[in-house]
Amino acid sequence: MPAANAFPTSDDDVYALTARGEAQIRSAETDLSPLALQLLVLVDGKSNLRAIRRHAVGASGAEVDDAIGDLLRDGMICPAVPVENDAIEFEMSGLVPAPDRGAGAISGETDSGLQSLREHGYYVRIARRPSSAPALPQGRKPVVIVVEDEVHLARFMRHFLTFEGFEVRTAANRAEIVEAFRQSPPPDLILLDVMLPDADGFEVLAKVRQYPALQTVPVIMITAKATREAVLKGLAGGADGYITKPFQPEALTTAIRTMFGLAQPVPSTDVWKNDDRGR
Amino acid sequence: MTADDEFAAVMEALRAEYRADLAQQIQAAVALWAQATAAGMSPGSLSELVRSLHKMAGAAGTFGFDRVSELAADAEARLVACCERETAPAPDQRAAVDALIGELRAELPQA
Repeated sequence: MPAANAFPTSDDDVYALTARGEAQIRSAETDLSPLALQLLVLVDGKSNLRAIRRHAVGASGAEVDDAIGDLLRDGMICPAVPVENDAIEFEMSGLVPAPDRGAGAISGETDSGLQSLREHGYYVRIARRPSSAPALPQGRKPVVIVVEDEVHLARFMRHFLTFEGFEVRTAANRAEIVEAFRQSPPPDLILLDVMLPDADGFEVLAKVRQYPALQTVPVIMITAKATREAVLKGLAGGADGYITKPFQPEALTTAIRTMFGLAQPVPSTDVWKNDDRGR
Repeated sequence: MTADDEFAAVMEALRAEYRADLAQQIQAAVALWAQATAAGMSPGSLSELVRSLHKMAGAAGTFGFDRVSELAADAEARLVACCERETAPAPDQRAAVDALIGELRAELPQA
């Protein structure tokens, strides 16, 4: 087992998230860099350094080791001892390009680490506080584009966000997405589903980030695509947040407030007051 | 009525709408599974079911039907790889999904 507060050394060193580290990817409120968040997602569920190094994207080996060292020092991750059935060295399906993997990457749900996480209810609530929070518009309501093809969820988000003071545009397919972005003013926030009938949320994210006027608009992926690699793909693609479905409305509120640098509200009671919730 | 009360009332109405629709969604998923079984579990016969389970997994839990969400997510996870690889589910996966679909059906009276 590696020493706490030490720099990572051996590929066989195993790490786990601390409560503090877990809060960074589950509380919809973080200041960490995209690389640090990526590493926390990779460590989530207990991982060895070999797997972390292999799957980290967009950073050199030295940068990854430095970031791991920082996470250790800051108490976000800690050395761990694997126990039976821990999937400490996982494979991913190839959605996220890994530097030492060929084009013939395995397809499908081959992430045994993810399977382990799924059994424990894998989810994330990631929202990065920008270094300079985007200003809320003056003289008009902030505009949010909600890309969601599940009609009930779209309706729910429209009501919820209207209640939160937004002007809401919803889009359920490619044509509606194009139309929503054509309207003026441009959005102040984008909530993006991944699996759409004729579009892919990750592709929409890539296009959004190509337009200069939209490059700094906060994007939160909100999706039932609850896989470690999907989260990594969203973060690598420039998303500022990733919330896996199902989600509580409070998580959305927290994430949005984080994006705009606003104070968080006092936690309220569950909006679903019906007592058969959870059955 | 305060704004919070008004909001809670709207949310409850949305939940009731979802609850009514969820019963149909579960029945549709059961029917799609039966069709896929009859079609020999060809990947093409599973894609619509996977999509339906994916939506159910995401929405049901958000509206408070956690068990339905868990069952749908589990079934989706077991079938999605088959769709991507264009292979039929292995017998053990098929049996597991069969059990999950059965459990989903059992959730119908509460949904």
